[in-house]
Amino acid sequence: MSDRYEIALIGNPNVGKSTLFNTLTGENVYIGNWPGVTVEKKEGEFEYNGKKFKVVDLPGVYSLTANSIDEIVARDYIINEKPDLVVDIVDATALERNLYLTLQLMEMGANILLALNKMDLARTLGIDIDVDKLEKILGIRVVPISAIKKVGIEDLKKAISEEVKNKRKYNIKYPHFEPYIKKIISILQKDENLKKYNLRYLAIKLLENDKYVEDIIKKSKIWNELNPVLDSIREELSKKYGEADLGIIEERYKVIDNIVKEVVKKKSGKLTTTQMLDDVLTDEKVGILLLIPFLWMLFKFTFDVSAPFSAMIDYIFSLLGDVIKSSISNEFIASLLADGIIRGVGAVLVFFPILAFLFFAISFLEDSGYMARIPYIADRFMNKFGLPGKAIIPLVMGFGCNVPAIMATRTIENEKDRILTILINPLMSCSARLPIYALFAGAFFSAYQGLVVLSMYALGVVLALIIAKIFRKFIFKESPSYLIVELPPYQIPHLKVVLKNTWERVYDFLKKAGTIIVFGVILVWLLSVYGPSGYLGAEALTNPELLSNSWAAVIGKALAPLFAPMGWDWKACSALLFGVIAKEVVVGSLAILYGVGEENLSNIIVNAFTPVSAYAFMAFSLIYLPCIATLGVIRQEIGWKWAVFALAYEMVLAYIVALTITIIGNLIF
Amino acid sequence: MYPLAFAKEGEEVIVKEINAGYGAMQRLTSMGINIGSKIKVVRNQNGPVIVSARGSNIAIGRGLAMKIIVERENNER
Ligand SMILES: Nc1nc2c(ncn2[C@@H]2O[C@H](COP(=O)(O)OP(=O)(O)OP(=O)(O)O)[C@@H](O)[C@H]2O)c(=O)[nH]1
Ligand SMILES: [Mg+2]
Repeated sequence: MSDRYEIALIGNPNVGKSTLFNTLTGENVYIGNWPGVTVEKKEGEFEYNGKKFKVVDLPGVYSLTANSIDEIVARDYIINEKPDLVVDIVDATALERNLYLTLQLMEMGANILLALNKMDLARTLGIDIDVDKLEKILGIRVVPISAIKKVGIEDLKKAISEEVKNKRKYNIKYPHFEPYIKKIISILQKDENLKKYNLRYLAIKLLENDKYVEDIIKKSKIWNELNPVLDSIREELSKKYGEADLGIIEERYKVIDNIVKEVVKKKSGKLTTTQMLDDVLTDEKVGILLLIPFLWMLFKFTFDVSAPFSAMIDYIFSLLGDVIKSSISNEFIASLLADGIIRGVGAVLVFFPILAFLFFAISFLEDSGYMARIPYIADRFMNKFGLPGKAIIPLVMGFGCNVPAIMATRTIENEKDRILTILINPLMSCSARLPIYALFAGAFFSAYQGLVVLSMYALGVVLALIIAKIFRKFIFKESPSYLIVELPPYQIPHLKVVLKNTWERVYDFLKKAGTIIVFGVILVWLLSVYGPSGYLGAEALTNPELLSNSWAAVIGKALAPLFAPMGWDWKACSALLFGVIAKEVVVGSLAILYGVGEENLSNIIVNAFTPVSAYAFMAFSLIYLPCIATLGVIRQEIGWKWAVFALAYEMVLAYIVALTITIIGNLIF
Repeated sequence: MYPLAFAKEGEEVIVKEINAGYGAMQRLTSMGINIGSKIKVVRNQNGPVIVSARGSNIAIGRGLAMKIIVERENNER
């Protein structure tokens, strides 16, 4: 075998890591999760000169102080996995800020190579960087590239293949801190067990009050000796800098300022497009006025454009089901294949066009730079309900489909904020619930049909905001984390980047949430064709007499007393059970259970419901359960525990709301 | 000295204090807003404040902007 090396890509958010990753590795990409956390882990490979390089794409971070999952993942990886080379990708147009991370990497003693990206943009902005000088000052290799234009990639590969073997000794000195660092190291040295760490790194981190490193040292036998020394140093620093940990930060920026002074030359810039656009788009009033049509367009584009594709897939799969039924003689197997497996796979794939177009639109907005501004605009309003500004995008997307909406919460860094945003998302009325509203509103409230349907959407939003406030108060307790977000410059989106991002996200859904949906559909199929008396035959799915002996009916009947106050019969309850697959199934199931075609359904339900019980049924359908797909994606994102919690609270909430509607409705009418 | 949230648009200020928790402070400093750094207020209406620091624009929630104490630049000698 030839040589194999592991290299890691690291850098601030938005510096072009993913772009470079894709350029380096081509199609050989493996996406997974970091063990134990939901942050994406991407791995790929490339070959150069007969050597194989495994590339790991680390999450975008501003520092390695471990304040967010991303930072912990990145830090732990570098400390524990010790990659042969860390490629630090730096945005040439914001060198000053990017070098902060570089310095931290150097403190860790990692083997580093600097890739100076976006050189094309730097040139247009009149930023001139003296690469040789930068290399000399830092003592590490610096390669200027443009990942998007594929400039300098060969140079980079060559540099990587050389640097993996060449462990450099570099030295960044913090003049005011060296005496302290030396003193601490002299004590740390006495413990053999600490030798596996970089002592200089430990010393600096101790001066920065880093909890993680402190915990390591507290277990060491030298802690008793170190503690008083550390205390006196910290006291000294507090006097000088206000707080001890601020000292080292200031020191890093001093070093950076000196470097930047030496290597960066900037010609005076003119008013950029970004400034002009931001004057309008981030204005308090105009910004909000423009946000609404933007979100509406996002929404319309996704669902209108994808609708025919979804319908097509739906059609193809039902056709496929029919073909199988007529060509396989064993009725059980035919039904399992057609009504269970094929229908299940179909239920997953109908999401494909929706997700593809939604993620396309989102990736487009992201790459344009507008996406980063939306939380800024919505922050104040969302904060009132205990939600972070970033929650706005997933909530709006929920009107279309909760599945991609929940996946879109990934941009929320704070775990509690994110869980809260996910939990309330199913209350946003997705498009699958519309057929239920349409059926009942048409049958009972034909004069006010539009208004009644709209009231369901409004009910969902109001409940979501109230629940958010309640959960924030009683479960998550602390207030939403402050918005701190970089607003990148606007740019014309790169189609390639947009398509790549779209595909990765869709693929991720199909792989992970897909399986659970298929199993869910098969389960409901089993409940329909089996009853207490055993196998009923596949006709149970079309024959109301048979179906009334199935487990699904048994469960419906068992539930009926619970829903008797609302005046629903067991058929309505069973239909709700089937709605777990996807809410649009409720209508079809009602038709089967009442033994009529969907066309005649409204005539039947006029007798089975009253206007009040119908309205309560609509509200219940809105709230009661996330569908299987949504449940699957909640589990994927935040685990079983929260998925079960979402299911439970929504059931309770749905019951309370439906009961309230019934009581108030009966009082009035 | 006054909170960043009270600074006017277009004003250039020096950060004097950050009275936020460890997490928020580390995040601000890693994005280039530390004590002593010069920042320019790009946008300050009723919502978050947008500042320009070390060449990039950063939006800071209003609550946090109340905890960042700044001083007008030309007040320095
Ligand atoms: N002008 C220019 N733009 C680039 C270059 N490389 C990447 N970009 C753009 O920079 C933006 C960010 O690129 P990504 O590859 O998504 O950055 P990232 O570092 O993976 O970002 P995060 O995953 O958010 O941390 C995209 O809009 C790219 O099109 C480059 O060399 N020149
Ligand atoms: Mg990326």
